[in-house]
Amino acid sequence: MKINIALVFLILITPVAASADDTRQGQILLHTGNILHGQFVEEKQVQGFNSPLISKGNFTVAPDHGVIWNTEKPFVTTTVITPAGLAQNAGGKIIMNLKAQKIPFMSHLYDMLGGVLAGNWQALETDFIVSKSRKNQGWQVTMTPIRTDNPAMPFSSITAQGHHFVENVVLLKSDGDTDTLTFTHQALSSKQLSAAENSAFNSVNP
Amino acid sequence: MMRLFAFLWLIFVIASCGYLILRVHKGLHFQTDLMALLPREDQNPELQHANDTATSALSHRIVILVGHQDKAAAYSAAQALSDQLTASGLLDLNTSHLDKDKLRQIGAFYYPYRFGLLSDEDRNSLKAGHGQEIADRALSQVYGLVGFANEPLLHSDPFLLMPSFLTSLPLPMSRLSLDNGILTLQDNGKTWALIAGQLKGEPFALDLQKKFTDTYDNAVASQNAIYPDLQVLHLGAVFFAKAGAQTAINETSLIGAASMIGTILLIILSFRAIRPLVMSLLVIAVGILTALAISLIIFGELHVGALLFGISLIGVCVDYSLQYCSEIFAHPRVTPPKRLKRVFMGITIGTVTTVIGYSSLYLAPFPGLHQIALFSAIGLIASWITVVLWLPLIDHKATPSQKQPMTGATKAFLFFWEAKKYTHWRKGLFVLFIILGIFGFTRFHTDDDVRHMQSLSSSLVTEQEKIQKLIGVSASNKFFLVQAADDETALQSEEKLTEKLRPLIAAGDLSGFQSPSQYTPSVARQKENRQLQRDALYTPLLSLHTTKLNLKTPPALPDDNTHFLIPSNTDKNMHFLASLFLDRRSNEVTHMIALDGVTNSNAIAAAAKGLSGVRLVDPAGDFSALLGKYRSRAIALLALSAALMLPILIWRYGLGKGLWVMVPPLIAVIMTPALRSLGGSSFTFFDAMGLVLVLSIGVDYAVFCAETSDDRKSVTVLAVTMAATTALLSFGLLALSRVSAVQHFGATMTLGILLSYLLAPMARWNRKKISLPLLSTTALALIISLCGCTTAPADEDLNPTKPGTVRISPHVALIMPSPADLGRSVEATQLVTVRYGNQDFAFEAHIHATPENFLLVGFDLMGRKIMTINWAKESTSFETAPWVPKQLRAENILADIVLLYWPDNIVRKSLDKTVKLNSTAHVRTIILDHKIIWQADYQLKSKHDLWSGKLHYHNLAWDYEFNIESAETGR
Repeated sequence: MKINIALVFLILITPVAASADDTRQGQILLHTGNILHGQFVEEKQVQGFNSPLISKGNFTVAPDHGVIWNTEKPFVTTTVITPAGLAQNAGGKIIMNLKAQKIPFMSHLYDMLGGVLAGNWQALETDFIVSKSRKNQGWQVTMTPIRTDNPAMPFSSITAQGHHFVENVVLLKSDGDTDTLTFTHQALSSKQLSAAENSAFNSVNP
Repeated sequence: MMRLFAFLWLIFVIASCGYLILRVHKGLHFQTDLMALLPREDQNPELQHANDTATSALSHRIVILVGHQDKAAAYSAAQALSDQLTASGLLDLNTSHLDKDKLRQIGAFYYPYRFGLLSDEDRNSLKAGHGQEIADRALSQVYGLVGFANEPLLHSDPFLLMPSFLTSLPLPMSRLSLDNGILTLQDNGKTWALIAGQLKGEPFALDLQKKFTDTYDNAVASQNAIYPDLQVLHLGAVFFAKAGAQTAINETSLIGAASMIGTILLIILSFRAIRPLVMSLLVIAVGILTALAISLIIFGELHVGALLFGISLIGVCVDYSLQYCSEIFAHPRVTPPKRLKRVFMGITIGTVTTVIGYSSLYLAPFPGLHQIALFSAIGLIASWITVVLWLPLIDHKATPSQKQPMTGATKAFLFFWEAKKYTHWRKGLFVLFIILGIFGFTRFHTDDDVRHMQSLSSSLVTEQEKIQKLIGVSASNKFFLVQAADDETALQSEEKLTEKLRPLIAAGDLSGFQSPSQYTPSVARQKENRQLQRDALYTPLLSLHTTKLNLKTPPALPDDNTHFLIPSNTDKNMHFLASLFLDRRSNEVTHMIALDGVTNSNAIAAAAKGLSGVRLVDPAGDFSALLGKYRSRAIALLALSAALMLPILIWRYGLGKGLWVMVPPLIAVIMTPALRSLGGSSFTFFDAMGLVLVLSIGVDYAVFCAETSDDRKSVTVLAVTMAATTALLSFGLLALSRVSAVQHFGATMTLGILLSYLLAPMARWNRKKISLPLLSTTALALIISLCGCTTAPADEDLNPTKPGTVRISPHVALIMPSPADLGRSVEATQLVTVRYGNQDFAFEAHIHATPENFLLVGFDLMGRKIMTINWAKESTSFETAPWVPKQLRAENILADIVLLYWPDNIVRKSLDKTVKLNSTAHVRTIILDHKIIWQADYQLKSKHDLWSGKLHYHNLAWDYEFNIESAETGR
């Protein structure tokens, strides 16, 4: 259920970013018309808790539609993000449906995303210092915010690793908590969206 | 011997007259400031001083709006009006110096300190590292469409921070704009010009009120003559006070005259002779004259209110002369000294008990009442001496001019109380009293709200509302007082407070505020601002900015000078700030933060929590609380004066009979509020004070009846009837007053005196042994019911929540148990959806509970942390993210968790005793007054584990619902 928009953002951009950089050779690129399916495990380390808080589920990324993030455990929830806004569904009930304009944070994100998709790395680099390296035949990208005193920036660093796809993302929060996402069973298809996916995307501000 | 005393008394009275003449010759001046009559909070003189200063600043404020369709007419009339008011020397205008020059002067004044001054917005921008935005703003102002900056300004303030600071200064009247030095606004085709100022003098002093309102009325009339369509609105305590005082004085004189005429008519009609009238007037006159003389010697100066009120109380002393004069009807041809002897005991005991009653007024904390108490007591004693020493000497009449009047009526009245055949009727009457008394006391309620006591002129209230609507302020008499050892400390507290107030404006809890720290930041803040400007603006951006601005010579970096803006030079230059910087003494300063449009006092008061020396002042609320306190004290006073009277009655009549004489006045004292409650009236401090007097007067009547012999009883009852009639005349008329406080006092007095009079013959039963156990039980029952009602006033529901407790409904509090009371450790994750009204919110909660501590961390659906609750036995901390809906209160979430999950015996113990908790495996309900105020339904996977499964709960009192899906993760 918890979904970091920044994360979605990462999933969306890293394949594209690879095209501009040869450190990530072999990574599969995400194009218009492609759909990425996969599963995720999220482990949150929160201060005061002995063991990490774990949630599991699956996700769908369709560049021309948005992202569907289904959490299966511990609770069934669905979050859909499109350029139009954000909708959330828990227990079969829509519990939130926000227009993008109501979430300035998110529209800022889409602006940046738009820039990156157009091959404009600078948009991302106004907020982050991006460093890229090779690791175990794969690649690693570390992003650190340029300004650490910005209250709107909850991360102190974001690290993503992968081969063909993004496989692992670690988010260090400014308050000391850590969020680790592991993505598995990722597969790219060029099929049409399923009816369920279509209706999910359409559920955002119908 | 008597003649000698009478002579000495004459000398004393003449001496008093002489003293009075002397004083009048020197110019007798009565205190007229009505505030002097009000009670003082005598706990903390420092606080009182600060309150007084603040209240006085508010009460001196005058606002006048001059409106006309023609702008020029409005301006010229406003100018003329300002000139006339200033010329009178009664008003200090704030608006007269408001011209462009003045604004420039303010700018010039702030200029040298500019590096320490930042608007809040700029300050936050710089703190957030958005210096570039400020630089861009300056550029857009320079290159923009309405660029106003010039080279010298840019050179000294390249980022244009000064204009931004100046425009951020709070303007209390948001709809006004400055035109040609006149503060003005347009509304509905009319131009309104504002005149504002401070009254020079006390708004509650009657002479100043008159002088000011006369000047004002004349000035307005002369402008109205020039511009017939001119509309002038005014606002200020002085106008309200004048209207109030006018009502009170008009009423008092009218009531005084009416009761005097009534008394004279009554005496003439009853006696058909002039002599009893002369004797009664002589008794009253001597009473008033000596009381006045002695009070003046003691107090130096008398308050006009005390004088008027005291005189009406002395009116009671006509009772003694009436007792004496009526005696002529009983035994014709009995010599005057013998007549005196027969009534002597009655009037003496009457005087003593009444003096005790009036003196107890001295114990009330109203300075005005002290004067009234002493004035009345002296007057009564002087009247008594006059009756005893003089009346027999000047009375030579042996036979009455007519037969005893109203014999039929008085006999029937007595007959009812004494004839055997009416025993059942009397019993019936008392049963009726008990029923009415019990019914009455079930409806008994108190009211201490001072706003209900005054009768504010409704036309003025309408005018006030209109002005407030026009100029865009809303009425709020509440303000913060900030007291500290020095200005710097006070300003720092204000900066902390205003940071907390700002979000409250956004939440709609208040519409605005003006704080001294906005005009003069603390030195610490100025240093911080300098640092900010240097680090976030000048150092990183100046060189590029200078290039962009195309300035020839680069502007200077803020130099590290040591000159700071301090309040003592702010208020010298901007005298309108005097109302915020209230007082500066060697070891203490007092500032005020004015608040506009307060809609949520609790939230505002909470903002000051933890700031020492900062206090939210609500003058009306404080005064109401004081009235409530004094209402309880007045009841104690009543009990005290009854207790003081008893020894005299017991000495005279013996224990049982002495107590019995107290029964009729006590029934009157108890039944009066009961009957008034039946009619829906509330019980106020002024009712309580009325009851104190009812007791004294009632005891008088009872004593007269107890003293008289069988052959004289109808004459005594006649005299008591006349006495009651005169008293009803004076106090009954008060009940018609438009001033609510006076009306309460009058109505209670009227009913109380009427009851005392009607029941007085009962006191005669102490002579014959008429034993009626029923009667004693009546009295007892009534006394018990009175005690029951007065000790349980409805003050409690105003109590704020005590620490460690959480309100789960407006009337129900939960005392937080301890985390260990849960009885186990839990690790759980929950999906929570919330409904408030028609708003939904969802979050995920992670719970980690051990016997030592309970931790809840909430994430919203974006994964952002929205809430952390850390509850340990000794301390609880709550953190919520700023974007969380404000209805979602962490404290209440924690309280709800306790209600949901803690064992039912613990929950029951922690809840108020007024509610009932029902708990089964599937449902928990909390019931208040047979109504469910909170209900939870559980759909659990196993009934032994509350933490796995779904549950739904609804707080019906505050109407919010939670759906929780919970899973234990620790197992």
